[in-house]
Amino acid sequence: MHFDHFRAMTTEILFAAEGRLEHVRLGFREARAVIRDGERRFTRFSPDSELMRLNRSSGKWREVSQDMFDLLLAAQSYVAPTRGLFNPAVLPALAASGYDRSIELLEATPSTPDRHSPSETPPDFAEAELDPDGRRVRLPQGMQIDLGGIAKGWLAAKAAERLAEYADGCAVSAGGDISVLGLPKDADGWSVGLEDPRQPDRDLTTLTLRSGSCATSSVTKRKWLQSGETMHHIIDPRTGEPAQSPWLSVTVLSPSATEAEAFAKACLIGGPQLAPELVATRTGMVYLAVDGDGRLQGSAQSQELSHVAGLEI
Amino acid sequence: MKHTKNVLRLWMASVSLGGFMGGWVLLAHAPKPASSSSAGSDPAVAPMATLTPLPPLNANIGGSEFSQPAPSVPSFRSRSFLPVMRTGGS
Repeated sequence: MHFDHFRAMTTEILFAAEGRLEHVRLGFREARAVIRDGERRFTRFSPDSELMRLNRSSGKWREVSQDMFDLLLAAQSYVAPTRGLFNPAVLPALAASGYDRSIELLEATPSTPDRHSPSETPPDFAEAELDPDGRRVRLPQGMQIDLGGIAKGWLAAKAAERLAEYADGCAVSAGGDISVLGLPKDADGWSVGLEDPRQPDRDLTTLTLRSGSCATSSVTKRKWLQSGETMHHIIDPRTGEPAQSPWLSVTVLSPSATEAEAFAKACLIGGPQLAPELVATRTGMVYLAVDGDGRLQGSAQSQELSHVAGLEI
Repeated sequence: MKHTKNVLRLWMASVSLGGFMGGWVLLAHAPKPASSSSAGSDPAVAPMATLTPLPPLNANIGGSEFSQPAPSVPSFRSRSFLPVMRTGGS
């Protein structure tokens, strides 16, 4: 098996592929280009990115790239099924909570206590207008979107598609958002360690991913201090504040990378009251939550999970 | 000549016996190896070094391309082999 890894989108990117090295190397190069291009397009930390240009044009129609349009279309399709718990229009709330620059800069220089005003409840991303004929988008006046999480999942799937053209089987991880195509040699799936959110250097269990994608949302990642209070980047669209969840992380396995990412976030915010209902409506989706004591909950108890995801606990 | 040989034999025997007896005495008075149960209470015995776990494959910094043999995956699913990837949020 061959590996390639690098940093992009302020996280670790890892490629794994089976096949002849000279072919796989070409695939690594192409897949890297997919990630790099997406990073430039979807980042909110560069004023020149396509995303930030779109944000600045809120209230007006704006033509966007096919990649941007496809990602926005996918993102909007998850708003209603997650009952609004997945909502990319949380950028002002994120900034208000202190996350107004890249996490590396934020960790190096925490926000000052009076720097941000209290956040407001984010607008509904379903109100954004998407015109497929003209490939145009109109964000309602004042709406600002952040595509950080879902863009990672989307790019992991795109990079895996590209890499698979040069490999017998491959897996791509963008900060733990993982997409696989094909199988490793002599194995019936890709082994994926499920990180313990309380102790990131150890795994709670190992998942076997045979196809599709998995994504994890966690309140223990991307944390910072704001007015002496520890904040995190998972914003609850119902309040505009960092989510108060009894779970530390939720991992979702799904045939679709963007769906896995959107529902992982929604399930983490919704907690045990809403997550089972949200996931029950989706085909081939399973979820696994970790609570404050490191206990695993969710679909883990069902036969379905073992059958669909090959989970072993 | 014969006398010289006898003297030489006697000298060699004496030196051998003396060396053997000296070694015996040294070993008999040497400190005994510490048993595992006493390692924690004897300050003279250094604790066993703790090995740090190997870093995960996706935790390397700097970025590089590398190849390695596929993880040894038995025909049945097992949790004992090293995961290829990890998920935990980002």
